[in-house]
Amino acid sequence: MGENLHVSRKITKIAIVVCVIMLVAIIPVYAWYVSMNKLTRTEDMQVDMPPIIYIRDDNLEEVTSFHLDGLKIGEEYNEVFCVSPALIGSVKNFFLGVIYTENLGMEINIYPVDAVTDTIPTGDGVLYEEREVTLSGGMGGTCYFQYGKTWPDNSDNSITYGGWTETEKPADANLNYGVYKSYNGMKFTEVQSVPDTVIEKLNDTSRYRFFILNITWPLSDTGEDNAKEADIVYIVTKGNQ
Amino acid sequence: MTRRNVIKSFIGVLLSACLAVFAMLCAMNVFGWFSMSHDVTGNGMGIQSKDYRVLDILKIVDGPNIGVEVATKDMDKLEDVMQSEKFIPSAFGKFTFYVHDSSSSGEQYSFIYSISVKNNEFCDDENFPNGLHPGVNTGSEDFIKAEQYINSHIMFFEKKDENGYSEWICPDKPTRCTSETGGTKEVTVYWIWMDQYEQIFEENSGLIQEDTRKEIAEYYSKEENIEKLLVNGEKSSEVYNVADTVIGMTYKYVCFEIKVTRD
Repeated sequence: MGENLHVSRKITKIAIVVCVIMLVAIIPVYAWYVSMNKLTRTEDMQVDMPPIIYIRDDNLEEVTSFHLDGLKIGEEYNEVFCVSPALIGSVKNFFLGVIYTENLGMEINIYPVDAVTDTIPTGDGVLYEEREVTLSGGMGGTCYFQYGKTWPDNSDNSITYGGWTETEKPADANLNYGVYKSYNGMKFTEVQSVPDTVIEKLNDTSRYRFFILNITWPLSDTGEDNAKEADIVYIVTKGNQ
Repeated sequence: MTRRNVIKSFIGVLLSACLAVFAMLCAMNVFGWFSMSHDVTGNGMGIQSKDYRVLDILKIVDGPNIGVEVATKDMDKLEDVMQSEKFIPSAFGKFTFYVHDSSSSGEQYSFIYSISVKNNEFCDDENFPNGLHPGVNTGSEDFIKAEQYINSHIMFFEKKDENGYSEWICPDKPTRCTSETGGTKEVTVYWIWMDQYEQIFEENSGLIQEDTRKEIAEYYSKEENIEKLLVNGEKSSEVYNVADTVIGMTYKYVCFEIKVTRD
């Protein structure tokens, strides 16, 4: 018993000595390591919500090009597309532009879709495009994209498409000759409710703004214009906050 | 085995463990001392060495040291780091800092530096506590994701010229620099918030020099890194943009933090 006590005292002594030695050893090493690291920071930058938008087709799939199947001389051709924010609420308004070359003398316009219905729209001057819509998730059906060949009056706030202007080729742009039309200040509406049906979904103007790309390839008297090669049409859009 | 023997062997093990730790610490200390080896004075009780080896970070040549050990609210910061109007995808800029060896021995020295994007936890805007959108918790899984996205979508380069960005600064590999003559070493970093998936993954996309672009695409194609750049590791421009949106919903005030360590 006495010897055990002696041993444990010895342990305590040794432990204390070791601790002191360790402290003496650790402090300068620690200090040395700390002083080796220096940091600095930059001033603050304020992050804005990225105004990312997409061009989608009538099935709400992202599109990078249109297949103009069935475009014929002397007939009008329509393509349905929409502009949609990546995140609802992240884009308040957007710019839409159409740029095209004029080899074939085609006339190209964009008209906003006023409403999407599941019955054939009627009324004076009301036009529509009929489409079989199939959305991811299984919803679908026949939809009528109703539009008119005039842009809504800017003063009509209930439509909230905003104003539009046709612009000339930008002076500082290193671009080919062609026609430049831009439609500024179009808006997405505030979120109203969660859509349940295809029609509700397509009419949800906080998420989608539909347009008709209207292409007219006029008959030429001489046939001369139609002998030229091809035209290129770009649709561009940019979101703002 | 008697109890005494057990105790004895226990002391033996304890002592050898202590000795091993002590030896390791001594080795580190001695190594540290050798690598600092300037002006050593002995005073009988121990070794004191005057530390000339600390590297300073300067904002301007011959300016005061702005390098600190821990970030504080009042620390002096690098300014004018943004060249675009808004801090959104496609934002870009550059910054320069100077690393200075205060020993001024004229000898070459090397250091490594790393850069990370941080929220400003000292932010004064009470609508955005910690510089984050309300409801964002710094420990949460969502925040960790957003932190990975912002640190991969914002890319840092050592070089930018008419051929594009090059000499990418990889987020998990600190960059090594060696001073030409000792004294002050200038470091300029170019940064850009890559706004399009294609700029990274499409050949000859133009914004980044092709060799560098390949290196970045390869790095972010690795299984362990792909989810840092793309939501769920899905390779598409759509999820790349979703990650940008996550950044926008998480961060309000951000800054870059640069760490410099003598190598």
